[in-house]
Amino acid sequence: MTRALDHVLDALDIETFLVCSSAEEGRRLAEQLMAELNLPKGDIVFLEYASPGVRVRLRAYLHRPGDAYLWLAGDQK
Amino acid sequence: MKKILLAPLDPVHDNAAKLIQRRLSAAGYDAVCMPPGTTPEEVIAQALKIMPDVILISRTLGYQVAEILGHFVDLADAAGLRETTRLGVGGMALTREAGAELGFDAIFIGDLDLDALIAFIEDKPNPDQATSSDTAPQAKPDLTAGYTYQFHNPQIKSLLDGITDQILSWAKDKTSDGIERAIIRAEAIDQGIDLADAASPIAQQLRKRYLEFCDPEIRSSYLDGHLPPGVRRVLPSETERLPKLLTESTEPPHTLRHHGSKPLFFVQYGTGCPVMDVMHIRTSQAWGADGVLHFDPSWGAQREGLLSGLLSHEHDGTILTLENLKFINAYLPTQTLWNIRGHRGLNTPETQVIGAAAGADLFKINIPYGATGGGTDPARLTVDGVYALMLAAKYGIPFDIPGNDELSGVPPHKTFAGILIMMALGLKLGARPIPKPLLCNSPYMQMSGEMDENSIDINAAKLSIWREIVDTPVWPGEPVGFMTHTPERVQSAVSTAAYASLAASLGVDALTMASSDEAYSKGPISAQARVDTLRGVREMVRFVGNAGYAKTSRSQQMQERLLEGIIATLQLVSRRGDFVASIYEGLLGSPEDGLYPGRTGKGTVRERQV
Amino acid sequence: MKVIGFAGTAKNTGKTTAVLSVMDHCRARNLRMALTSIGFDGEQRDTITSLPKPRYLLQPGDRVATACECLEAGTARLKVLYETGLKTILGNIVLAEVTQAGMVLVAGPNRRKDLDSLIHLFHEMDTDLLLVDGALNRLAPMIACEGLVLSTGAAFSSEIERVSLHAAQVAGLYNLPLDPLVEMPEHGGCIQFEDGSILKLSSGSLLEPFDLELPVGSHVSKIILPGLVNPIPLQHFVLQIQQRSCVDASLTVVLASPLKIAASGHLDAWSALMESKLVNLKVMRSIPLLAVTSCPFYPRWLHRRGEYEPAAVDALDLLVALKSSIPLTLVLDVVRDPSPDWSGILKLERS
Repeated sequence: MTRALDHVLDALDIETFLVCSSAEEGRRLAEQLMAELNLPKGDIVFLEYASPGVRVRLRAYLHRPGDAYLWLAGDQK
Repeated sequence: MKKILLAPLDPVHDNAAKLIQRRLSAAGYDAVCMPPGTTPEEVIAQALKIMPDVILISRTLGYQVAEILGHFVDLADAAGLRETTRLGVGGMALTREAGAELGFDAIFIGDLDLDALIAFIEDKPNPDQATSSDTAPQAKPDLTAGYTYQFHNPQIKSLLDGITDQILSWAKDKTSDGIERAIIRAEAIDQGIDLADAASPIAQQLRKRYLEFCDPEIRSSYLDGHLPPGVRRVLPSETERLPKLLTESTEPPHTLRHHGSKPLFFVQYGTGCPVMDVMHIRTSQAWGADGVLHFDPSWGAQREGLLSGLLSHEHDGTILTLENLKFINAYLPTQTLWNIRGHRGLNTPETQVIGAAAGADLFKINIPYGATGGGTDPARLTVDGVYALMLAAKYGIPFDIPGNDELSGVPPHKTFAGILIMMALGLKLGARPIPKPLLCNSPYMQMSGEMDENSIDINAAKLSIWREIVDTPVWPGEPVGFMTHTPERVQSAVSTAAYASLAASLGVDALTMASSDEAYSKGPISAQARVDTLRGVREMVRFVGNAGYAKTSRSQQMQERLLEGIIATLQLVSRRGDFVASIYEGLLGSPEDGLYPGRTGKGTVRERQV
Repeated sequence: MKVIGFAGTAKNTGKTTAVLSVMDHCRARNLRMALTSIGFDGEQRDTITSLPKPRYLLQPGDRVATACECLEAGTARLKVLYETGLKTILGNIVLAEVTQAGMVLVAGPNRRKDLDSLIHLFHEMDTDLLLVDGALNRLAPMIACEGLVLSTGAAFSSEIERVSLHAAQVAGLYNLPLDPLVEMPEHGGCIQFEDGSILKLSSGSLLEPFDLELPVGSHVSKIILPGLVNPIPLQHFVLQIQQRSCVDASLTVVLASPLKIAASGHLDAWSALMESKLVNLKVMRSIPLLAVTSCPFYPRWLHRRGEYEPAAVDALDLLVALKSSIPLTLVLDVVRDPSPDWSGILKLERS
């Protein structure tokens, strides 16, 4: 066990505020951000625009129910 | 009397030290507090004068603060104080490791825990850190304790008497595949036999009888090991590491209550995977949930027969099997109440049997709700529901009655009439019912505008009306604030917290709450969403404290109208003289309201053969 | 068995690095070692600054006195030999032996009395050397040891002059003459008169100005203060006695130990008092200062980011400054010179 990501119980959420000029641009930037952070199959949970930007919450499930949970191996040395 | 010297060792802030001084003085200690800006040396000088039993330092750990605290401990040692005086420290950013490094005898992290503080002063083990062997396990709370179920409204009592007599008389000689399976399952459990055991001849015999009452898909799972799509067996490697992971924490759980022992807070789970469920249950319990409700996939209610084995499912809802339930129960914290949704369509009676065998504390049964929407045929669910209530009575397990048919658009007076029928039916069969009014911004509320001015009046009326009618526990759900949530977590948690505090202040016995992922539809509920809402509820319950919401005259009028509506609905059902027909015909919720009778299992009720 | 304490002038001055250097040396000579700490050591990151720290890698046969909760927290496999009943925040202290090499976390006795008890227990066992790692700037419990290695450096101050001045002031305390005749209750103070009579004081500590009713013309021979003493009230006290009694220009004041003097802080005032010749300071008990280690590292606080970052002063400049400020004490930089002759420095004899 080396990666902190393996310890994420289920979902990884990223909360931020992106400076942009429309909800559409905010959505595009949010998707780009997930790609830049290499988040697999990320999703926008919440996005709200008001100038000067969007309040956004992004999510990627690292362990969905029924997956092989890497946190189960967490105490193996 | 023990002497305590408190010192903030902070240039400005002494709120924490003053608060502790006040609490300790009230608890009978001689507590002296030094002013902010006091130096370590001044504290030691004062301590040498008064020779306290304990010195408590309050200080947030920050830049160069460790050296100040270390210097203080060193001064105490050099002054010879540590022979007689013990040193404690509390404050933000401290950790137990930092406390050990600084050389203190005790450290207090987080909110003020007076019991832990007094235990330290008295040099006794911290009550919160007592191991299970130190204390005898306490009985789980009983939500129905102290309630007489005496009806205060004779008109309603009389109507319910007539309606329930009719139901019992109608159902008396009827049976279904669901009831037959429940009888076989109970037989197997009584004999300690696993229906899926291929090696046992008795199991083989019982299985053969059981499968005669099952759908082909279920039959195939027992005979060929073929599981429905998206379902797989949980491997031993997935379960064997869980015990280690879950036994390491000795931290006491948070409590959501600011005072008193009510309400109990319930959360729902059913991630699809029993291993993940265990993690979510433990997380919820650690952040204050007193109880959990098991949710299974809706398709489980639409098939005759239950699967067998420890099974994981790709989608929402954890499959009802005896093995899944036993596995989850094995990891349930000892004080956590466990509710199994009993009205499981075609498997309603059998669900009570395996639920009781796995250790359920509560069932959930509502015939009018389960027999409408996308649910079960009213005749089938009435026969099976009556049998399920008999089982609940036999096992001594209380059942709650959710009013979630409101979500389809049914006005609350019709839903509540259905809940009252279920209460009276359960009481007649010897079971203990708990009504569960739904606090929600339902389609009816949106149409009627009853929540336009505020969200309190109508919901307060929906909570207060129960004890006007009958002496009963009340458990709003399911969850509170339904249809008010959005995917935005602050809004969602705040909404739940507001509804929870309203219900708590109106003296309910329990409530079911959502997570802040309630309105997020593209994935399972996350653990952080559970924590966020539990934290929100704790804060709001603390904010209201022992104050409350004053009932307005508008709310009172709403409550009166609600009562009139309930009586009118019961009169209609009574006059109809046929409970099942009343559901078919929409007396408890009509197509105009948005409600249709359920169709699964239509035509499967038969006369019992003598 | 020899008991060596490793104290620091501040956090992150290199105590653990010094202990590790000693351990390497002693392991090569097959000495049986035991380790404890008066704080918490061996963690991956500092509990206060979150910066990476040197860790304790112990070998089979090494012994350690640590709190119960630390037993499972490292990677070494440990066999518990004895449960001491001594308490810490992280549980009671146990004596354990390493059976499989690995990292250990050490949280030991946090007060002098408990360290005494622990040393007593180790004396019963077959151990050549007990190493006592310090914590932060804490010194007082170290009086239980037989020799001291003091670590200082940029973590005390990033101004080299301040570090070297402070080191000189501290080292000066270890050269104070002993007054071994004093047989006093541990914490009671007194005034001795030339005729042999004694006036007991209410406390052995002196932290605030104190008025003493002393007959005019009394012949005071010495003041004995075994507790915690602040040099400024002490100076007032001495002046008060001198005004009322017939004493020499320099009044003898006997204090507990160099460690207690240093623990009280106010080293500038102590130095000024000693230089003033107003008093003739002596100590009841001392401990040899065997070496001073020099560490250029310090955690730099970044106000804007609210966190620490690793930083360093020039290692050679610091070493040279320290050597010139305390010429009579051995100064080492164990990173630049990782294999000093610890046997000689610590005066170790094979048992």
